[in-house]
Amino acid sequence: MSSHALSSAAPPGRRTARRKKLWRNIGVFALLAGPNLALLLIFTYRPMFLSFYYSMLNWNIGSDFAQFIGFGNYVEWFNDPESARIVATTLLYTVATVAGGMAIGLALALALNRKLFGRGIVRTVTFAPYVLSGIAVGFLWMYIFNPNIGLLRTVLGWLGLSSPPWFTQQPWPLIMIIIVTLWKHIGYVALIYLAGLQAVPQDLRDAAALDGAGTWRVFRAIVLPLLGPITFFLLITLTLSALQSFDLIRSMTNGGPLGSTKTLMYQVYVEGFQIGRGGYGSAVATILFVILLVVTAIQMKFVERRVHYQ
Amino acid sequence: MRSRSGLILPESLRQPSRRSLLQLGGLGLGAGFLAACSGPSVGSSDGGGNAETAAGTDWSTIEPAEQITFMSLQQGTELEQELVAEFTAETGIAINHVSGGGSYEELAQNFRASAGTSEQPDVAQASDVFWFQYLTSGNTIPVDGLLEHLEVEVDDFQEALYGDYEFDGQHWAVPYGRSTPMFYYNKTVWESAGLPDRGPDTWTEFQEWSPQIQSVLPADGAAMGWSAPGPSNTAWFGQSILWAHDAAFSHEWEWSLDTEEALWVGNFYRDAFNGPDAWSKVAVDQAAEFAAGLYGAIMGSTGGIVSYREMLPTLGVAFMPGGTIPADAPRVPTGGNGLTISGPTPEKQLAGGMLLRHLTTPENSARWAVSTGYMPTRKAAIETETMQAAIAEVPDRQIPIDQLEITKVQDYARALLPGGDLLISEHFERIILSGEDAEPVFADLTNELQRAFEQNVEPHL
Repeated sequence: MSSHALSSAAPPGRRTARRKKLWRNIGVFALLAGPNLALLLIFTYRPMFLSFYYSMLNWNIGSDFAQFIGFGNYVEWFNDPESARIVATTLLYTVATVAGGMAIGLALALALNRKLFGRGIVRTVTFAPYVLSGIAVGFLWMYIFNPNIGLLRTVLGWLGLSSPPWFTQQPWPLIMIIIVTLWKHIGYVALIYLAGLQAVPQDLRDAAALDGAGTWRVFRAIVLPLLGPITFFLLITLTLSALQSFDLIRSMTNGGPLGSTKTLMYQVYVEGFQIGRGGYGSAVATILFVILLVVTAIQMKFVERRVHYQ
Repeated sequence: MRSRSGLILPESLRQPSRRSLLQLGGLGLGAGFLAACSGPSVGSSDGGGNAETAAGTDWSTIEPAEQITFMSLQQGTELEQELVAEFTAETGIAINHVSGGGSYEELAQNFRASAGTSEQPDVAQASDVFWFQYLTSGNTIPVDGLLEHLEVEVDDFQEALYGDYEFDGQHWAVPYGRSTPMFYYNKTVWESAGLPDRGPDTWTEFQEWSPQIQSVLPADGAAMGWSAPGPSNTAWFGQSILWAHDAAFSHEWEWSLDTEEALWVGNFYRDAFNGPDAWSKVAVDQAAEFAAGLYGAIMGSTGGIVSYREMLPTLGVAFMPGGTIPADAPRVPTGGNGLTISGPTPEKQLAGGMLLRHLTTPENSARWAVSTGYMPTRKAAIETETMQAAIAEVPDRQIPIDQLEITKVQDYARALLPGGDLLISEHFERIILSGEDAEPVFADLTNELQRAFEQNVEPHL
């Protein structure tokens, strides 16, 4: 007998009670999830759809009037020779900061996981840059990198070296931004990895050691695979963060010189807010969104397969 | 069921039914509807916005609004709060005084973000390179008729400062926090180099002086330290050097970078930074490096006089150097910000006009100039006791005032064309940093200026 037939056969009183329960559950769901869903709808999905809608317009931000031009802004972006360079810069910055951040962060976490004197203070100090404002960090590092009177110039001078032209000659400006991004983010990466390292069961390590595995072998065969979920989480969050990075570029190089530090996110800002082309800026934002979506989907599809869950 | 990522997904999401697909479609349609209900009206051309409202207004029949919003960069300063409080006490009109941010770009962003909403300011500051964008967006009104009704003596504004806001025979703002570029030099360096205690008369003269200047500077110093490439300064200073040599970025909407004079200036820039006779260097922190004795001279805004002097007591202040045009011919641009009226109703516009009148009276203009380092925007302000006392205290304040005689209205390519300032700066970087010849760079720049004009200006004219 089908469940439908069973349901139809149930006494009317029980059916009413079940319906009441269903509505009560719906009510509880609406009460608990409703505010969050409303906020998501208003502050995430609405702007997202609006941005896509604006990308179809020739519209100056602030203007009451616009012209519908279909995919005209997208056609312009794909035909602009600058676009390929901006995408390349964005990808280079993303790969360098994500790969570099994870490698250094993991190394730092391994060091902090040992029983060292003052470990608590070192952990706090390492994490502190992550909570600082990007703009403030940018200005601070400008004083350090200043090749004319900066701190780094003095330090390099002690070693008999001259300061690279951090602000004026490619590829130094992008390298400078990557270094500062790494400095700002490795504390966060290290903290997350540290939590993962502390969750690795000691008995597994001990068993491996008894079987004659050395430190490197234990790390490669046991620790690293068990850190898989954390590595995967960091890979996605750091990639998304790098692709949307803005504050350091804004405060240190303004996307220059010669556009060498202009990323997609910075292009959205320049087109939308400096030049006022709301439609074109929205088109670039939509392209960035699609790239974010594709990169995340690829990571979910291919990288997650290699992740071992306990 | 648990997905590979560990998320527990309902059956409906793993194997979507026709109903859930319909729900998804409904959500998409709803979102599309939401989008279509918001934002600008889609049509073939711009309307006049607030400007149309203002053009047809008989101001004598209007009563000012009881409250208006004023968006300003100096909202946090004691003097501006004082000026606003005095206005309210005098007129009874309350001012909602809001901050526009920390820079002209932030101000423009905040203004644009608020445009068309209930948060839109009725009076707002606008920088020299952003006010025209407010105009093309239909957010500001021409002030001529309103100022005439309010009996504001517009002839008393410094011509170049007020003229910067003229377009299509009307003025769209009044000058408020205005500045000009100046030539600053280190008198100690000048003395050591055996140079007369004055700025160079021409750029060629400065170039001739540069070996002497560099001979008394540290090995990594330079005769001139230029602020790091970036928006504003490159194009602002470059405008003066072009004008001094009878060239310009543009004449209204006609680009003029293909002339012999313009190309000469472009290559003058190239040789200043590149080659064995280079005499310029890019400064990252211009003021600090100048004060540290790395440079013999810099170009900076009028507003820097007091702070530069605090950092470098041996500061010399001079006019921007000239070139091939007569010494008394206009060759210096002005910059800074003005006040626009963007209120949506005639009542708010009238109250906004009254605030403009109050903030720019000769006495208030003088108080503002003394406090901030900006230029006195009114001729009568120079004669006030406040201004004269300030000049007596720091005599160098008189020099930018005298330089006003040789200022003129900026080129459309830099000041009016949206993004023009940025385009010019980016292309000058090719000359300065890569040492490229001016001709192909200026040809590319001309194409870019034309493209920007066709995209961002022509549809709105």
